[in-house]
Amino acid sequence: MFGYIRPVRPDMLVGDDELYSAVYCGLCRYSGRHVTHASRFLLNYDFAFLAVLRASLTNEEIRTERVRCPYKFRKRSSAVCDGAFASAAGYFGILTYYKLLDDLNDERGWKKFGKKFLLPLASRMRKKARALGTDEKLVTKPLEDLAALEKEGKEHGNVSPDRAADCFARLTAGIASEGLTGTDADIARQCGYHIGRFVYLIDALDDLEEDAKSGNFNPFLLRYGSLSDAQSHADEIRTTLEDSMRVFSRTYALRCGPVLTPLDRIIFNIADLGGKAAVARVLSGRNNRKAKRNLK
Amino acid sequence: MTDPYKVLGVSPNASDEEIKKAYRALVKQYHPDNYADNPLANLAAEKMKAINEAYDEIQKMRAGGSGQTGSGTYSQSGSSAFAQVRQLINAGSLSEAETLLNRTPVSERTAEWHFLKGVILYRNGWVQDARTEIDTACSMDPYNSEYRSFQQRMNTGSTRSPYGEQGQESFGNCDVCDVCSALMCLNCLCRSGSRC
Repeated sequence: MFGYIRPVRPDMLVGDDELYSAVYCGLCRYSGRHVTHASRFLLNYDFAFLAVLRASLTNEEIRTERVRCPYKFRKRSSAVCDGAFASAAGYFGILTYYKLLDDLNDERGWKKFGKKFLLPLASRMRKKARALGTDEKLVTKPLEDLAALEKEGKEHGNVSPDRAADCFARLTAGIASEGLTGTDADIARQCGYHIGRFVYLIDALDDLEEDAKSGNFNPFLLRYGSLSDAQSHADEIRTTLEDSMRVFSRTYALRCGPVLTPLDRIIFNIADLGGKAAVARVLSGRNNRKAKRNLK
Repeated sequence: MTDPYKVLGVSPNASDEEIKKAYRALVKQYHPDNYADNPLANLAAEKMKAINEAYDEIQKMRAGGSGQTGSGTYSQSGSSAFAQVRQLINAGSLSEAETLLNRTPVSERTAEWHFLKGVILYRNGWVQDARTEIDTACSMDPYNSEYRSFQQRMNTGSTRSPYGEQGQESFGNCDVCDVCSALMCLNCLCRSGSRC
């Protein structure tokens, strides 16, 4: 998860924007306290969204308080929502550890050497995250499937983007629906699935040039053959990414009451506007400073 | 049963008109047609049922007329094998439906086959492959309204979202262009009147 899922803040109501900032601040503080202090510098928007989604799906009450942030040098509003924060911060710790392991497998040279030094820190994050009650199996099984699929894709080249995204989507579906039962779990699973699919595919799109150079697994390169072919199918890629957000939005609407709550409005903003904005950002190359590309 | 007023999101003191308005908005939102392609279609149908029951309850309590009912199922005819596949899809047995569908020889894969394949893929969350199949079905049978409406539904977001295309429409149906065109029409009428 790399910070693609964020709201379009100019379009939010002022109160909703303040609540979203408070959730981010609260999650940052919570992860600093429970999943090592370093996690405060690594946290990203995707996990703030996960916290908002979990708080909404579990109907957890969010309380705000005024606290001083040591990095902003002023008092600000911070949310307290322990259940959702434990889930978001916990899985952040676990996923960071497995992301580092994956990088160590893929990379060579100085980068690999540098990342080896981060392994003790990531192991500590994982240990602390486990103490928060996270279920590591929710993460390991889909990641194992994904690794097997990437190997198959490199050898045979017959893995579709949907099939590749399915593994990561199952991972996020498991996290979103953890502890829920009945229809709530069904809705959470479906919402989590499409968020995971979106994140996996937009990350693949963002890494398109890099993967074409390095020869790493990329589902779009496998589907379309080459970098230029993939770039010429930008509209098709955009459509499939936006499709996921549309399904998410329609599914989430099933659990909304007659009057939308601030959390509902934040989630709809991210799904309906944030998703499109993220795709536009990645396609225009604004998301990746290293790789300037001219896709439309 | 829960408080019918809460289900419709209105206060017990609301007027009949307000209740009808809230009911219509919810019916529009949760109509099964909006969720026909969604794996949680049955949930939308349940919501719809609860809304209808709440509305009926309020009508009865107020000794008014009868409430409206409305629900829709998503199925259509076809060959017997495809009818069975449809039944399995509606029952939520997607893997069984897919296995049955894949038994059809390649030479006998009609537009309906591609459509059903697309529905299964869509419900599994494999949206890109689903689009390919639905597009194939539509190109093989361009006049089939079922395939066309599914294709259109794939392009629509939530009717509930204040940020969606339909949600933004609900902020106000009258924009500057509407006002200008109305004024132009009125102006034409005024001129013609003065000349007569």
